Amino acid sequence: MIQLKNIDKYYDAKFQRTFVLKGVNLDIEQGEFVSIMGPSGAGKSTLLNIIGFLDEPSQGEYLFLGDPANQLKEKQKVQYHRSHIGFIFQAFHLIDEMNVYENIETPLVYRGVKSKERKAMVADMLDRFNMVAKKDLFPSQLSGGQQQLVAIARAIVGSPKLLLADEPTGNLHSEQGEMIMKLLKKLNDEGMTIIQVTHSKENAQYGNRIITLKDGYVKEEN
Amino acid sequence: MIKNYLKIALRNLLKNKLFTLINITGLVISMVVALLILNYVSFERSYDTMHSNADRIYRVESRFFEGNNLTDDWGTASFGYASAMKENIPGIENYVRIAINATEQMVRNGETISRENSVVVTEPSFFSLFSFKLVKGDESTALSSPNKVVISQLAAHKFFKNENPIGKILKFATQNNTVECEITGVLEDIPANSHFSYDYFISWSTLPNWIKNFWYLHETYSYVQLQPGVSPESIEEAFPAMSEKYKTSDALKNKTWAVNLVPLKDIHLNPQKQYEREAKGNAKAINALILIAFAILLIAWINYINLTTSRSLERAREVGVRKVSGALKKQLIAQFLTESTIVNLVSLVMAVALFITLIPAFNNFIGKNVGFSLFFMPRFWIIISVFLVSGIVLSGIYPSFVLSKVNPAVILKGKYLNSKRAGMVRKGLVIFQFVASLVLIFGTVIVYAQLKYMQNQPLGVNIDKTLVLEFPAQTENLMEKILSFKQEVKDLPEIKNVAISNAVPGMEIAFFASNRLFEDASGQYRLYEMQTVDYDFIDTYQLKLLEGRGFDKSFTNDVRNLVLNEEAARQLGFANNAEAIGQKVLLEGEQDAHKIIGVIENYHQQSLDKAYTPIMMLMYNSIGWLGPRYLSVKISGENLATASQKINGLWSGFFPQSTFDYFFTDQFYDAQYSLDRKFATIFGLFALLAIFIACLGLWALALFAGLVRRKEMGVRKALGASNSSLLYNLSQEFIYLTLYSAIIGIPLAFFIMKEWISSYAFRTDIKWWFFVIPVLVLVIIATFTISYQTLKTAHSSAVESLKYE
Repeated sequence: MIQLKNIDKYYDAKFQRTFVLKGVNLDIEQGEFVSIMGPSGAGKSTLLNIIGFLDEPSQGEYLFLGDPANQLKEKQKVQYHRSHIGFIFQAFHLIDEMNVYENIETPLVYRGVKSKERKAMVADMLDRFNMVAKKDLFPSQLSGGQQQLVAIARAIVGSPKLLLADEPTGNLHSEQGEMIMKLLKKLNDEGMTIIQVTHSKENAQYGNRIITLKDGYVKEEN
Repeated sequence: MIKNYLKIALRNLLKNKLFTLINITGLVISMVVALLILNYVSFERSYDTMHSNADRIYRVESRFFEGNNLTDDWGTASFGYASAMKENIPGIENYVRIAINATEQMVRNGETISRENSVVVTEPSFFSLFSFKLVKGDESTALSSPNKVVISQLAAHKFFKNENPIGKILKFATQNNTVECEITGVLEDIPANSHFSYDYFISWSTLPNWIKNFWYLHETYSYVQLQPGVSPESIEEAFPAMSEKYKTSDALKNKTWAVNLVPLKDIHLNPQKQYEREAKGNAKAINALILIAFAILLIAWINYINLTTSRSLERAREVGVRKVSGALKKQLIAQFLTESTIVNLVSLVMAVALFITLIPAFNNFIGKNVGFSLFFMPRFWIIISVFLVSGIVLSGIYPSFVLSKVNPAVILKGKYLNSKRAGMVRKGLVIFQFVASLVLIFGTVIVYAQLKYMQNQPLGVNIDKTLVLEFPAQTENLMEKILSFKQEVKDLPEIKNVAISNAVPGMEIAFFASNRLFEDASGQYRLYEMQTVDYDFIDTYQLKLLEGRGFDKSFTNDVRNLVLNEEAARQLGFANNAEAIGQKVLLEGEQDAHKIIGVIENYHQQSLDKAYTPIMMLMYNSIGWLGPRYLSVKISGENLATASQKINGLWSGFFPQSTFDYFFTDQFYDAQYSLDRKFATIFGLFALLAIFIACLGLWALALFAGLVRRKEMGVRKALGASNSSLLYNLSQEFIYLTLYSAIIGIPLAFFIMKEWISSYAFRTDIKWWFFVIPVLVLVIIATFTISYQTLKTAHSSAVESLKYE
């Protein structure tokens, strides 16, 4: 599904090129649950952003579903965001002015899903995550775990093939974290490809493959 | 989708109530100002558009040339021009003359008597050329025979209340003539946006025959309607050649007689000319007002832009999430535009409501019933749409571009820094606001300074405590009675002096004669203002004699003598005043010469926006057509009311048939500045509003800068920075912005100021403090505006600042 060949990412300062990623080669098959680990500054988030079309590699080749991603136009990237890729973040990033229902609905609105269908799809999500009673609440009225649940619901409501999670439990206490990880595991079992960045060895174990980065290199894979 | 945009936009606006309030307040004020101004401007520009043939109607205005030099430019034409033009120059379809040689008359019906100053004589074609209709009477016959008069509804009500005035008789009396006229029509109300407004239209055939086509009395407003496709220039070109046939007399023979065909719709806003009596609009002031309106609107829109972009930090996360949820750039732009649409629309609705509430007060202030001329013009709705669309686009587009450009990968990691470029643009916009405010303050200063200058300059004539009485209507032995009356008034203990004249300071003398030096037979005729006076005039008004003497009873033949002002002596060609004494001048229409006996210092006959004109003074009984019209009474005591009561008592004894009409010269003189004063007030008010709006924005920016830099301030504090250094840190940017604005604003203001006062004949010098004061005002207001916020930020506890994430 994802093929990274010799990916470099660097920033040019005045007299110096700073590498964030260097010579990264990675193949990820559909249905995998990959955990990316490594110390701060190792390039984990950058790698995730490149995979999610939020950032571009400086060098190297990236094939997504067999298509070269380097030449994608802005509009095509938006199309991928609409139909293929879901994101969840450490800081949840719900829109404060929207209630639970509307937050989940947003990607469907951009995809142009009809109102009736949208209702059914969001209702489905609320049902699945046991949040029907909370659908009119705003993010500030929810606990961290609940917010991340909404964020996941928002990320997967459009049934993406790939879910990218950047430290999804980083802002949660362990109990809630465990709940979220179990949910991700379940989604993976249902066939969704998941790539997560994490600091926690324990959470990394939920995946079936761990990639460790250090100073921009892939240090080990197991 | 749109529903979604609206919902989110509304929630966002409600969530940030302060920002929304600042934006809407600024926009509402600026839109109300703009609406008031545009309404006024559209009224001023709508003059004389009510006539169906307005596009083909021109006023014939006289011009005289010596060679290529334009020497005289009058708003009037002579009695004979229009008829001669119709007869000799092809292309004229219709014409009408309105004679204004005796607009002020005593009008009488039985016991009701009133001094009216809107009496004219006109032709039957008045009704075919203009689109005015009669409410009573028949347009085709109303003015077609002698001794008929058409009156306004106002006049009808004044004399006849609710009775039908048709067929009734009105008696019109000037000093030397009385006519009786039968009322044959009542004219509909002439709209406020007509350049003329009269109440009595006497039929042309009532005039004595000699004057009807007379070429040497330029006292008609003459209007011609050209045939379709005929250019006014072709008529103007044909006129001088034609005029040779008619200028048979000596006066002004050396000049080329020309006409200027001024489009009817342009008359109101053209500069005032000599012999032009109606109150004119001021095109320059109107243009200045339009600029102010747009400057204020721009300032308010810039507030919106700056407040929105400075909040982009807050909004960036939302944009990032939307982007990864699959939002296209144009969808994001549409969302931000929705917000600016709501803000602009809400502001516009509130502004229109406020505008409707304020218009009566505004009318009252400017002294004109402007009405809601805007609402009835299709142009208004276009203007409103342009307001709205430009507001939305100007204030919405840029912020949405800035915001939609953010990179989600960066924002969502929580590391969004304000883009440098957006910061530069914001500073640029603040500078623009400051420069606009500065120029408006500069403008206010110069307008007031010029007004003060004009009011405080020595006039060269003493107009204090001078009561001016208007002459009575035709009375038997008028001058004898006037002289006895004058003597009795003079004998009153409160009275210092009394003088007779045909004009008093504060008005155009408006009697011109074409004169030349007597000895120099080939010499040039030039136009002089002819002021008739008596022995006491120069003393009463304390005019300063520079050379020779004034009129004096002890000399027997002063009736053949002249006193000039310096300007007239100069125009006659004398190298100095002394040279003029004893020289002889041939006055227009006279066989014998008048001798110059004195030269007085130039004085301001009219307001200081007009230059000195050449004035020749002669005795009131010297030339028949220059009869006196005013008695000026100089009061010595403080009690003006008692004095005027006593004078009134005497008047009723002498002139029981005439109303007692008087004014005080100083007030009358000062009234010339009422337009300038109004303009100064409007300018000052709008400048204040502009600064207020700009400061609203500045305050919000300071508030925001405080929020953004709270953490930085906390760290600095923890590292030992003092409050004052923090204050400097926070406010230096704004201080620099003010300074940059001053650097740009001062030269700009200097240029505008020079341009503005160039139209005044006597103008104040531009002083250095004209520039310093506005800059100081701006710095003080700006510092005051931001200091509260910055102090608050600087004083907040470090712990709290650092906790804030």
